[in-house]
Amino acid sequence: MVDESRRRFIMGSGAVLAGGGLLLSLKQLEWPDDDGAVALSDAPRDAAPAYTTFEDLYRQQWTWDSVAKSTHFVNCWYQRGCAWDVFVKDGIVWREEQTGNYAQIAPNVPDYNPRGCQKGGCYSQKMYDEGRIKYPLKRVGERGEGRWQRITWEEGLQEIADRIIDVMISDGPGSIVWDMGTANTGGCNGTGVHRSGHVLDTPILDVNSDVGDHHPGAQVTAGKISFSGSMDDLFLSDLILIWGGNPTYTQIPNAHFINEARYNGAHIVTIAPDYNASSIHADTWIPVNVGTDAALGLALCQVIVEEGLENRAFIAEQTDLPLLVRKDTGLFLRGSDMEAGGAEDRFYLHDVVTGKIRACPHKSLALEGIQPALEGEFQARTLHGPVTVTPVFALLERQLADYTPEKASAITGIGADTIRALARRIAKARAATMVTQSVFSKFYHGLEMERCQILVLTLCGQIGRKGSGIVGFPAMTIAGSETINVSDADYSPKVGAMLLKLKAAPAFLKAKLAGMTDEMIVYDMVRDSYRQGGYIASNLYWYQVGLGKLIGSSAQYDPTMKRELDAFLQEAYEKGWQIRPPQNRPRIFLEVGGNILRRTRGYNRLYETLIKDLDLLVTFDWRMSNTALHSDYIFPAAGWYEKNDITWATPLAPYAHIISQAVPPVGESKSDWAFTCLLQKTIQKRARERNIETFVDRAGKTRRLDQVYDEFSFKGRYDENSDEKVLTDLLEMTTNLGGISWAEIKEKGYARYTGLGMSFINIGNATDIEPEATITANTWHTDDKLPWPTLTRRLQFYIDHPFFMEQGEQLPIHKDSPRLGGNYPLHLTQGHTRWSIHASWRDHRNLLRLQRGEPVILINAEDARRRHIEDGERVRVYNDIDSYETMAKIAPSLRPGQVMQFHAWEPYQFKDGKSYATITPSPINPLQVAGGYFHLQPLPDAATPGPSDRDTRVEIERIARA
Amino acid sequence: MSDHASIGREINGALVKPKRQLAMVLDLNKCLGCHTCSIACKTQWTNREGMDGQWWSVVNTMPGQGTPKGWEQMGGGFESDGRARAGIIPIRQEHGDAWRFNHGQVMFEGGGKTSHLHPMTFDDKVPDGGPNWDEDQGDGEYPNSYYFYLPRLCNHCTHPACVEACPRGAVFKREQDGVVLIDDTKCKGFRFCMEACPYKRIYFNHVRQVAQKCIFCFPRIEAGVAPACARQCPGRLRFVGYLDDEKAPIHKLIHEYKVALPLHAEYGTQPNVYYIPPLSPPEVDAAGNVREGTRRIPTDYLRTLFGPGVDSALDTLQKELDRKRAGAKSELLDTLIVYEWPRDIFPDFARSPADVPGDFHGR
Amino acid sequence: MSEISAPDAALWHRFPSVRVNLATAPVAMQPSKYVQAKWKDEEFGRLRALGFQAAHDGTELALRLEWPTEAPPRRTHRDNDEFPDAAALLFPLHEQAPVFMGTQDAPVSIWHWKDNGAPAAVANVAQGIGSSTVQPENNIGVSALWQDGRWQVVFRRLLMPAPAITTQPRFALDTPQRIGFAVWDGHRQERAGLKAFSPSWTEFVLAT
Repeated sequence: MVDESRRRFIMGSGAVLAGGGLLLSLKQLEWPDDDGAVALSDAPRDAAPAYTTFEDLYRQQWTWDSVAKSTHFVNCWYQRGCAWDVFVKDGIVWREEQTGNYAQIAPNVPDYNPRGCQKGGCYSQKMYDEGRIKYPLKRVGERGEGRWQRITWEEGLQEIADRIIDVMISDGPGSIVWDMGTANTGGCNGTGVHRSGHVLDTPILDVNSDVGDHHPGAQVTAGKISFSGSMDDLFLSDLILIWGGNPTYTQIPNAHFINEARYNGAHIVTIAPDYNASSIHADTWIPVNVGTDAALGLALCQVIVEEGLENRAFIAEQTDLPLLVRKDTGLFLRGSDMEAGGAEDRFYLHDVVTGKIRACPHKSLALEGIQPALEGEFQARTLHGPVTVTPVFALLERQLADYTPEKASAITGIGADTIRALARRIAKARAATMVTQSVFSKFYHGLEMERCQILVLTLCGQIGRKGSGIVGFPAMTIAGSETINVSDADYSPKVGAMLLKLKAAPAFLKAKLAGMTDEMIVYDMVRDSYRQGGYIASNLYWYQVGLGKLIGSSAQYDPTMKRELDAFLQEAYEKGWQIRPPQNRPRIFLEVGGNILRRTRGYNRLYETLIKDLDLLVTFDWRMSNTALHSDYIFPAAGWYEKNDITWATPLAPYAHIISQAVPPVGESKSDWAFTCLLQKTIQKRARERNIETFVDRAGKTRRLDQVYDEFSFKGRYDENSDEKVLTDLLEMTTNLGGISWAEIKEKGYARYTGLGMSFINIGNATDIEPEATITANTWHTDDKLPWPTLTRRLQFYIDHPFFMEQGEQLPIHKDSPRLGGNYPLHLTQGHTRWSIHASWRDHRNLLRLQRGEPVILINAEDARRRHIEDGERVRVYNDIDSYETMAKIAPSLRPGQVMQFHAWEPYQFKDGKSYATITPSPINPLQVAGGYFHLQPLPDAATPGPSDRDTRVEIERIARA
Repeated sequence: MSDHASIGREINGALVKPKRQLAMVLDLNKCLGCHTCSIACKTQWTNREGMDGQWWSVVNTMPGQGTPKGWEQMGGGFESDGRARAGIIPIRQEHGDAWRFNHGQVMFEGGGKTSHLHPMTFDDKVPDGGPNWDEDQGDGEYPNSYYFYLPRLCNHCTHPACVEACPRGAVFKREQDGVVLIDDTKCKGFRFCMEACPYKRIYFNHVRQVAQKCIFCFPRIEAGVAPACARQCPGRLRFVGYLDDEKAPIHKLIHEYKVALPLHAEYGTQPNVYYIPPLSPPEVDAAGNVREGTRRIPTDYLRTLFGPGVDSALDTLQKELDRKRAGAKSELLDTLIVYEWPRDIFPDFARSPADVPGDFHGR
Repeated sequence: MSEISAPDAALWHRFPSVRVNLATAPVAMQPSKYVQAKWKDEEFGRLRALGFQAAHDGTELALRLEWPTEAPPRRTHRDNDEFPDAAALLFPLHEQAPVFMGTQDAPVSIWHWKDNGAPAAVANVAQGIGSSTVQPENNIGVSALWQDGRWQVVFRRLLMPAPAITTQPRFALDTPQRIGFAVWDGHRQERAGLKAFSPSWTEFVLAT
């Protein structure tokens, strides 16, 4: 299609032309003013314009009326948060730019500036674009058609309040479910929804396991998932393993610390199936077969142990590896074995110094001169006679024999020499750490992958030192204000908090005296919200409302299962190991910050089940998500520059950031707080008008329906315009932001955390935060010898829970990735893209223009060639579950046999609304419904079952060219 | 002649230079390919009428076609003897232009079940190219494929081909800092500048019928604020300063350590944007073992971009990394780390825009 | 006047047509080394003659050009490398003004038509090559028609424009008037100095 004139200018074809020299006599041209100095090679005459005027035009473009501090409360998680200046001109947000004034924390460690990314940098466009919801809408036509009638707030609120009242009376609050998604904040948004749930006794979906960020391997090993150092701590590392994460894509504001650590002498190793973007600036990239990271981890451990490189002192003190296991039952030797009335949670070791078996120190990890054996067999004198016991480490050693580098090489595809070299590097590092995110959590055997990863660093004692550490699921929030969700309406939240603390004090003290650490007590307290049904484990809910056959199909794919998933699940329910979601018929669903009809694996099946059954689907959002598109009512949410709030963060960037109102809410949108407030107000008003006084809650108690707003608003302390008052109160109660007030933090934009407080979100970091130091997690355990919050009070690699024993997974083990979806040759994985945080920017026109404008599936060049697929062609992706269409993009860096579709495209960006989530069965791993095991028991964000979409198998075919 | 109009031109065999010259150095070992620079520029300047398809700042995956597609074969610049080299104007499809979308149809006009959100080109076709179409593809074969990110902008050249090309003198180079500007009140849309620029960083505004390009954020520069692409870069890789400032980091990088190199110096325009070439991880052999000591990006390829200085630039970087790992100090690496931002990366432009008066007359 | 505002109005057959010779604008005259270099060996400005007619009704005058093209004009000019067909009339604003775009002290007025659907021609004033500056007035009507391989373009304006307009010629009857011409072939990417032009002034008189 290149025309002739263009072809001539291809470089190298000799299209070089001479210049200069007059070709015609001036006389022939009759130049009247022939002074001979026409000087054609000179600058054109009179070429001097009024430059100042022209440049002033651009100078005038760079003007604004006001600047406000704000940010984006979207769930970017590992890379959250960033302080932005929002520039407003003529009442419109013109643009945003990073504030860039974070003070340097530790001397000789780079600072955090400027943070930010391309997505935040164009929110100013997103908030005004074609997908913005500006007015309350009511559906006309079918669900999902996208046909609406504009209504008023009053009309909308009244209609849904009436339905809510009807259902509260007829079916009870269990028939009304909220989803906060990941837009929940720790501020007035979160307060509004949580307190609504509390006052109405309507449950809220616990989204973390739903999306697969629940780190089951960390939970089972460390007793917690929420721990991480700060990103600037990496500057002090000499070995950084980027393993199970792609920070160049998904930690954009933090990633510079990795590159700078490299310049500071750290060796950067990436381990991934594909030569991903994080690998391009690494010192070493190690390609690993998809889903075989457990085998790699165990092989590294095998080398470490075989070559005597393990840190014996560390593992003797911090792990369960010296604890004794009965050879007859395979269970830990327990207090109940050894003494009449002995405890189930007392364990034993063999002390080399005394030559005797003795109880493991309980209240502290400090060994006080005890030298626990790591090998050998010993005789324990139990209540029922002598029993041979052996330390976990000995069992582990035998397990590791199956994972020599040669054997692991066959599984992982990594050369044995490379495995050995890596193991030695980790063991000899001064401070080795890992950058790992949430990808393993989404594999069927992700629990094992994470355990093995943790084992590698643990064996080398790479925890607790500056620049070292294992990472779980980082999280950090303001502490001390959580009680506002549930405290007594008769008192101010501050007083209510004190009263609750007072009430809990005796039990707290008792637990402490019994040897429970603060961490353990805090986790125990939040487990209560599950027992009382405040949260629903999302995947158990989906199981019940239409996806049971799909996500319960585990035994079909997992050859190691001898009974169906449902059998495990029912056993778990009966024993109270998992909490059964409300059995009520689902009638009303309130989507207030998530997008269930995008994120749920198998969402399309929900159309015919849950969604079809619902009387009412309501969405509150600022953009048209797929869930909004299928809703009966949409209420417009104010965007992040249009309201005030504060939210949680992570230790990676340990700052609490705020959003503040730079411009009034667009259209008729309202803040999240205003929405929940007005909803409660309307429910109370209508209940009174309809003379309905009470409802029966899920525990059978009668409560006042006609006082819900009084309860919600603390007897009128707050109303729908009280966002900043709520925030002022929250900040007054906050213990870990150095006492900063709402007014102060609103002006600054952020504040650094000063401590963890007693928040269950924070406390797992188990360290103190110093004002002039990076954060290194878990020093309370490694330095202060505080027990870990597990059953054995140590990092626990032997799990003698019946489900784990049934599945042969007491010890970390590699199991082949099950062929989910059928026996197809290509392994489909997803991943988080650099181009959006979940779906929020997926339809941003400028970001789409910087991609291909629509979803693409990445396919290796050779795999494509064999299927006659060319770059940019439309393909069908299919397996036993379903099929969908998308565009193929050739990716030379992708591993042959693997295909990738980065996630969070809205279903309405695919033909027929079918995406990769329609073909992924995502079955539940039975280990993830285990419970009743001290640290395996549901709590918010963890210990409930997650998805397994990363093991999906597919085939791809070219769709015939038209 | 030393009037405004002659700066940047060859007059009587000599190049007329500005009093001072601003320059930028980009460390390609830190670029994440995130495009925050491109978005920063877009919301700063190219958010206006007719500028939808303009990306003054682009980030190209290399090896790759770049933006516009195939720009390295579009001519322009100068021959080694100074003669102008013919070039062609990139067409909209080659720039990637600005696709339109059908949000309304899907979301609000009843097309939720019968249509889906998709892009269309300015001439109503399904797109087959865009400004970042070949992102992360690169070259080579698994497991030894390779790519890196190359952010590009107007180089504000010392001998700008665009200045020489415009018959109206609408393109000029500022005396005080060497920034090259197209006076779009004088521009008549002849687009010879677009032919002549060898880096193809000039766009055409079809609504206003004028050529437009990066202005090095001169209003910000004048207020002591770094250009948006540099200041907003989360990777902290874009150093900005004056070439004559011996104390500035860019001086060290270009003149002392010589790790910062121009892109396609053979185009003859003397660009003032420099790049520190990327190191790369070793290759992997058929047994899945890492071949220590190799670099997977062929140095030959890097030489075609950054010239013969690339070999020693890479060796210098590697040597300094090795020294650091052995416990020695490295001034070069400490410079590239940027301990304190913005002081260590654009010391003369460390002001925040939020601290500048929002009113033009207040400055 | 309306009877001859259309380029193909029958009435135009009644008026004499002057054949104006055109030459390719010399590459050496291009005020840019780049343009000289690239276009030195390129073919441009190939039109060798156009037909010129003038008519008036005492108040308004109409100036008509006609010339053949090698190919039909493009329907749109939406891409970067697409330029429209165009034509311009030049008038001296000073006795000494040369037909080569005037000089600093002897400027010319240029009426510029482009095939872009605009109903008015763009008025410019030039004081030498490369200096033409767009004037704000909109008083020169233009209509164009391409038919049977030929462009027909009519420029219309009051004989005497408003007094505020100082950079356009004022036409008096029975007075010799000098006019110059330029034509650009869009297909060949002609614009700026890449044109066919009349190397000398043509004189015409509007008779009473």
